[in-house]
Amino acid sequence: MNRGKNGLIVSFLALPLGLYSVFVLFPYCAAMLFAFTRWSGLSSVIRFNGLNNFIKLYNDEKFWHALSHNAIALVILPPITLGLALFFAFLFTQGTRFARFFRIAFFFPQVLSVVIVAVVWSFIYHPTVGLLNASIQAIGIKGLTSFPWLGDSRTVFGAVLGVVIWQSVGFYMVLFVAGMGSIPADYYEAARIDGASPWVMFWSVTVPLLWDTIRTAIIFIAIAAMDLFGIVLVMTNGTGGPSRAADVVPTYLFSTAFSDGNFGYASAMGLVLLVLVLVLSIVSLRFTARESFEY
Amino acid sequence: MATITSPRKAAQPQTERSLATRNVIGKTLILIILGAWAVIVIFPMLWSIMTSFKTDQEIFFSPWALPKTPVWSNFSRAWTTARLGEYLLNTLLVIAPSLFLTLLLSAMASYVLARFEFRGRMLITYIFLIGMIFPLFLALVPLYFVMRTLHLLDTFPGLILVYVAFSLPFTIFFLTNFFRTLPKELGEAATIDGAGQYGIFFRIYLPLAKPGLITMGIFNFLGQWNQYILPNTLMITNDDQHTHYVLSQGLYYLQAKQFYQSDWSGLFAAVTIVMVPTLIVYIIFNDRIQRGMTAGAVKG
Amino acid sequence: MSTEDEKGVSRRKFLKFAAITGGAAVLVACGSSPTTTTSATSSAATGATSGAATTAADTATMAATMAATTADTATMAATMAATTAATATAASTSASGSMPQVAAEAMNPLGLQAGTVDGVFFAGGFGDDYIKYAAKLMQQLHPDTTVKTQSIQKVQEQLQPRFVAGSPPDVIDDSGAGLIAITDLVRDGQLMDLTPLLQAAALDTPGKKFQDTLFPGSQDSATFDGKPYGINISYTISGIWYSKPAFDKAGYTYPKTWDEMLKLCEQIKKEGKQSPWTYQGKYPYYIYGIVWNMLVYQAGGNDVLMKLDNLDPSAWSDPAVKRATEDLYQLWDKGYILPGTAGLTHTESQTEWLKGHAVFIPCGNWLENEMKTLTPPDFNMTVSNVPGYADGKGDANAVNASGGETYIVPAKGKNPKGGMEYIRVLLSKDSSKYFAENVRAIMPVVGGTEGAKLSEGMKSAVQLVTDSKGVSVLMNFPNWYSTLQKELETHTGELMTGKLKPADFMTTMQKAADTVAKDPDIKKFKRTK
Repeated sequence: MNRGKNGLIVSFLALPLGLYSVFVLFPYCAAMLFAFTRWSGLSSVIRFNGLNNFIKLYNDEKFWHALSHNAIALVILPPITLGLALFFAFLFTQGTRFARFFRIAFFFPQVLSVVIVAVVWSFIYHPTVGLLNASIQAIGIKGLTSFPWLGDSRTVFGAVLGVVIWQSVGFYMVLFVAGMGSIPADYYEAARIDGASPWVMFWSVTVPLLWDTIRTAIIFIAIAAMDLFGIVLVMTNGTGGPSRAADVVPTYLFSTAFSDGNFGYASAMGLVLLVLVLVLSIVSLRFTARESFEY
Repeated sequence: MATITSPRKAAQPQTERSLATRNVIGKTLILIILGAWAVIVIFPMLWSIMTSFKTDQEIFFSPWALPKTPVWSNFSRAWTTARLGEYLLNTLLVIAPSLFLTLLLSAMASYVLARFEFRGRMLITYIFLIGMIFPLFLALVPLYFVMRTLHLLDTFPGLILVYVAFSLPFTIFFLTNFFRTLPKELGEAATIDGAGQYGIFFRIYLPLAKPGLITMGIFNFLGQWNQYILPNTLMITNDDQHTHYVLSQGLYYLQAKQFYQSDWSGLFAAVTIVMVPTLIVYIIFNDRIQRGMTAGAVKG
Repeated sequence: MSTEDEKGVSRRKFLKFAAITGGAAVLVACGSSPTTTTSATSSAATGATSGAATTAADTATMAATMAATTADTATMAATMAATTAATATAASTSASGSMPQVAAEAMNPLGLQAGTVDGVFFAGGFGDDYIKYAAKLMQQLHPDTTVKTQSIQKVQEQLQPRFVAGSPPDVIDDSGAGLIAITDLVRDGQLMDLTPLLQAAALDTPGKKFQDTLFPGSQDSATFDGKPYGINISYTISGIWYSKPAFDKAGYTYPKTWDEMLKLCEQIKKEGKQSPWTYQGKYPYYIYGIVWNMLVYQAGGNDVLMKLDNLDPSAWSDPAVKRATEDLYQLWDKGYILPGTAGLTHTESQTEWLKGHAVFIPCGNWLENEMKTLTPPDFNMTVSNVPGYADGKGDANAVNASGGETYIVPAKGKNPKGGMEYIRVLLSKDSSKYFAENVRAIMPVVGGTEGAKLSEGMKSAVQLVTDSKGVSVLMNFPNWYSTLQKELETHTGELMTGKLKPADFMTTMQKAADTVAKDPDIKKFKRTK
């Protein structure tokens, strides 16, 4: 089996790793070095700054404030998003009517440009002509007339997370559907002969066999929860929301780098974020590492 | 949770009828849930397409109403202002090779990472992970210098290589797990039949990985199609012809413009034009995934 | 030249400016009105030359170039005159038509040499046609110079690497959402001191230096520690907007003082048909940069704003700041603001206002162009000053006007003189007129709207400038200190939604200002007038 193994490993890894090193890893490592400097990002004058940026970061309330929002997202997003995605993917294997139509439709939010997403949700959350306030009124709940969902520090982050879930469910659903595609039919056949209900089959066949994909999805969504850059930027128009109530680390980092002209400090944040997410990924990879099924 | 029935109980004949009704109720319930979500996701899509036929005043004064008369000129204005025609060709010239390379290189790396134990395997996995986490915009300046040194600034091959490099981590991460789920025995059997390592990959596993490759193809197509940060920095043409600009840059231009000079209808039209190809690609390839997975589907 | 003299001059200039704009509508009817012709008088020539020679940074080289090329310029002027007829058709995309005639001493006061000018320009609301128009103009003026124009959207993202690499362009329109903070470039020594440009002869205003053709105060926001590091090529006038016909129909009169404003708000609220106010909720800039700063000025005069700019440790507890903040807060406290305003973007809130849901909205004179496709006919939006105090220290007619759309010339560019020359051409009367007519905005150029047609809203804005007699209000610290600006943005938003009481607003902002004052990493700026 392993004849010519080493040659294959080297030749298959060389090109991807080479490209990746030159165009991604090298620039990223260079950027990480800026974390130890004072650099405006605009000149070749780069002053070495030791750990000063990190000390400043430790005492920076705004950074912790932003990080706390990422943490909230990290708790909320995975169960809801992956739960829904898995649920939908499962339903599609149940011979549901219109499955093809649903599968296409559920992916729509992924196809929509971020500009559109921002505008359409801005209208949905709109205080006066918004659909959300209209539906709340239709149910008969008063007292929320003209409530500004994106203009109130108590609701803005929740409103943004709602959009994230809406948008990402389709993505994970497609991942799961693809993963389910590689599960051999005999397993279901066997389970069916045993008289298993669809729900039991889901838990005893689909989930275990899909476990590797689910793990991947968990890592993806954890990384996404620690990011949220694009969506927060467009939903709060770059301000981080009222009282910065929707500010996340990447948006704070972005404004530090670009509007404050402090690339060194921003890079320090980037590095801290990187370490946090790496640790998180390694932990969750270990944590979820259960014996994946051997066929 | 109400649908949980233990296998033994389900097999009992006396429950068959109630099971049947339950089935109907269950199916209806499923349809309702799916239908509700479908409305939530389809509505914005239809709304944005509908909105591209409205005037600015209609968009803002009555956002939910249908256009009184469809304004086709939004599209022609968007087409010319954002130079979409020119940029479409550029985008295709970049994306076609870059997608092919992304999938091929990722599949190679993933296959090796998934199937062989060797020293440094986990390290390589984590190194690829870095590319998914660190904020891209902090690394733009060093990347620019790399590209300048290699004389790749403002060239299609340069952008293609960068796209491939930036697409690798995500794609490899997914495909590694995908290859891991493919049965080992096939490879072993082939080895006995005398197939070489390369032959096993190209003739056996690569075709088997089709659903995964197509899925990644879709995601990377979307990502590269909409990517603007990279071309924005790396594809600066120093004359007015803008010959190397890609679609997302044209769209970006319109977006920047409307921020100051409202032309929402034009912007929506442009976004619709840019979106339609992605939609078509998804619908076509979605069926391919479907074909790949029917083997595993259960008629319940 | 003393300060007093400058004021005298500026006052006259403004009167002239007003007279010109008043007759603008009539003039434009004539279509291609003849552009100002200039004759080369020797006295003006020597004046300009000596002016340039005495003040230029690279005086030696420039003076030498000037002397050497004097003979050349004369012939060039002749050539220009000869080619004017030919170029008239080429430039006929503009309403004004032909190439302006240029006096010999105004041909090339900066000593530009043959070569290329590499220009990179933000293309936002103004588009880029006016940029290309000026480039064409410059090429006609200097046939041996090639002007490259490149339009971009995110200035920092796209130009940052070029600055770091030490190969920036020769001239940049540094504007838009992704602009490079000029303070950062100044701190790093990346920008040309534009004094030579200001001292050079104006292109088509005979006998004037370039700087004397610009509106007074228009360049203040691009001046750092007294040195001009940028040129603002647009001039914006801000105030409170309302629909004149609707306002008159309801029988309202525009309040003269803030107290009257609050009374009118009470009346509007009681009538119950519309809310008195709305604002661009997600961007509290419109409140602090248009309303609050004016109230502070009206209460305490320029000195208080100067204290704020200079990060004075007691600035935020000044009685004028207190009065202004408390009075502004009344809008929220008394329920005069359209419910839900805090959740609206600029377009959305301005739409609510256009629909008649609110009477007043603060904005700059870009409002008209920005909302032109949404504005109902006969809305006739009009702008007035923020009403102040009968017993205040500020000039009641002072206008909230400032320069914007800043052009910069990088110090390390290949051809900085070319960059400066481009700005000189761009801010000529000819190009200003093109700008006024095609972009519907104003360049801070005296006589720049000569013969151009102005809209009703623009006319009311220009009227404010005329009435101000050259007194404009300036608050610089948000431009100087981005971190402080963000704090102000956040806390103004909180003040306007009742999350922060005026007293807390003041203490919070003082703390933020103190933090900036203490941070050694932040470059500080001062102003003394």
